[in-house]
Amino acid sequence: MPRIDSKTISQATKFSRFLPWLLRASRGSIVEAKKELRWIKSELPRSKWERACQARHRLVPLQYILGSQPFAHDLTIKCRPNVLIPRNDTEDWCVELEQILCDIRKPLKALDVCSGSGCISLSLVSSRAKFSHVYGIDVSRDALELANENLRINSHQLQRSNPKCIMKYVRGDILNEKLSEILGTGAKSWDIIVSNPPYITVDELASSSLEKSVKLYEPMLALEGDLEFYDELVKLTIEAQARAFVFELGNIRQAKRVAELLHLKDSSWIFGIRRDSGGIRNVIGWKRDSEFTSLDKLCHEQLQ
Amino acid sequence: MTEELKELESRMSDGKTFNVEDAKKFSRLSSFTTVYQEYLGEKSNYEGLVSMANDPEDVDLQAEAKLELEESIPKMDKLASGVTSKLLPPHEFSDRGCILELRPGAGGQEAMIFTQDLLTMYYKYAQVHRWKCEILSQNESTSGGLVDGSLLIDHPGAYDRLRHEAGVHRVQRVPQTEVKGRVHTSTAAVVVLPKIEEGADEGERKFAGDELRIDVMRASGSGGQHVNTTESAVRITHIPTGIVVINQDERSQHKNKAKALMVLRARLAEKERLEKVQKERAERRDQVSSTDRSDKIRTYNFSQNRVTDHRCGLSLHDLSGCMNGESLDQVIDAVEAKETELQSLRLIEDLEHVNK
Ligand SMILES: C[S@@+](CC[C@H](N)C(=O)[O-])C[C@H]1O[C@@H](n2cnc3c(N)ncnc32)[C@H](O)[C@@H]1O
Repeated sequence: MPRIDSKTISQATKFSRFLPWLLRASRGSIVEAKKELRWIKSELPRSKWERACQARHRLVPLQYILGSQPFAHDLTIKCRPNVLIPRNDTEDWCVELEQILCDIRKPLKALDVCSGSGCISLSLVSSRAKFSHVYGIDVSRDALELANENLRINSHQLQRSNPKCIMKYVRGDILNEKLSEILGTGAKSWDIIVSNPPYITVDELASSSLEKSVKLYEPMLALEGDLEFYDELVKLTIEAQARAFVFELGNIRQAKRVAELLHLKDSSWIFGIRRDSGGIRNVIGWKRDSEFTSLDKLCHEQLQ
Repeated sequence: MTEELKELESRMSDGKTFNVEDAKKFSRLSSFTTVYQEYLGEKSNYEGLVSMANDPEDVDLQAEAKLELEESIPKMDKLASGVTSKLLPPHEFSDRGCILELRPGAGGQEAMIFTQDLLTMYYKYAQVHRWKCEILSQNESTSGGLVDGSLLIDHPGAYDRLRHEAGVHRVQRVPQTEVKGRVHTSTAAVVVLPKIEEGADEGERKFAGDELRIDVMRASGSGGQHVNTTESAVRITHIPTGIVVINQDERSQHKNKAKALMVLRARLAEKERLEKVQKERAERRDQVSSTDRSDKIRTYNFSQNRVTDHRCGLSLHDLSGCMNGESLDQVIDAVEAKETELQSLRLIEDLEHVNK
């Protein structure tokens, strides 16, 4: 954490007595701090400004302080401790994915594994792409409760784009349960699996690559994970008889693992990876000759 | 022209050979003839009144006719200028909403505060008209005022009305910080852009994959689950022209991107329009470039409670009414009338040229 010089602090004080509190989280950038102050002022009642700014000084995520994060087109995703905050990087691929899926006429069945706040599944259903069933699975009760709240508060947007889609969030532990144990008879015949599982390795957790605010305030259950999750996601994809998937990830090993395992089971899969400004972000797969071949538009590179 | 309309009408009733071009022409022509008929009606009314007013037999009638004439004359003037403005080609983006971009010019701190004042003026102006209006960005300076700001007025026709606002605005007043009570002069520049829809309308603009470079601006490295930053700024570079648009006001990165794209489309459309206008001017070797873009178009004098528009010479002694959006229309009306006058003069010149 760079130290903030006294000149910046006095400049901030001149603008507003609240602003200096916000400098730490914005790494000394007055421009960023001013934006946060404007958001705090426009979204919270005056009586809460002071405590909000002080909380931000302790690096509490702004999304927990304000209680929400906008996502995709016009969703409001409620946020609170114990559930991961939706990321801009996730929003990016969700929006790109929707634009590809909306060319497919038949309403799709999609599974959102490790659904957390529900942001991915909710953004899909609120898009122009067509869905008949979208289920989310998560092990955390807090996450499920929040996803259901988010389903309710965004029902208008969901109704507008996919009025007939059946959505629900189901509790399940993908490391210890098969899909048939989680969904019963409904485990088969899904079209596409999307997932943003915990992918930060133990080594990374110990290093400085993790933002302090994440480490201090977001749930470890949502962050810490590695190949074991991708192994299970592959099994689940096979069990669900899906023909396509998009997984978010943090490194190339995870992408390669998915491609290797799935290729062993069925050589008709094609794989690609997608990058963003932070580096590799997704592994994507589809069955040759399926309706999902246009997913190659999401990919920056083929895998294998 | 009336004949052309008749021909179109008969073709339309035949139900054949009527295309989009014709439909447009038809609606233009018929709206022209409506105004023209009204003008002719008023004219014959006027002529009747004149002969009554000169009737030596009936004194009562004379007085009454004179009274009515007083109403008829301004009415006729208005209709006559309506006829000329219908004759003039409509502005390319006349049916569009607009984006106003404001930036301080000379005058330091005062200029930034004036920029803020102007943004507020246009915001209130939109409210007075009940036009949908949204601040797209406002970059505050630490010591008050704006480093830049922009406003979307999403109402069809707002562009046509507000395009007259483009140019340099000048303020003369005593700054609050000025202890000696001296009057300062500072400026702010206003750019007016057309709002181009993203949808399937004809003004739509699609970008090829390699035409844009979109960067999200984020300080830390690996992204994804590693960071929960609130940085949501988006920078879009239009590679062929080098135009760069940054948007960072929304918490949603997706919205920032959508807004930046909208501003980019608007800037490109305005750029293309200006290039076209310049080319046309060059072709007719038009030397009477009415107003240079760097010229100041208007002065706001606070101590005299006066707004003077230098293009039409109007001085309005209601500065506060103007600044809260209520009487800005009076100024714009005058500028518009001046524009119509200049354009019709040019039209007449052109016609005489052809007739020679
Ligand atoms: C990185 S978060 C993703 C949340 C959300 N999909 C998003 O993109 O913001 C991972 C989620 O996986 C859930 N999770 C962790 N272990 C799990 C397990 N064994 N089975 C199912 N879900 C699990 C966590 O509760 C957390 O909500």
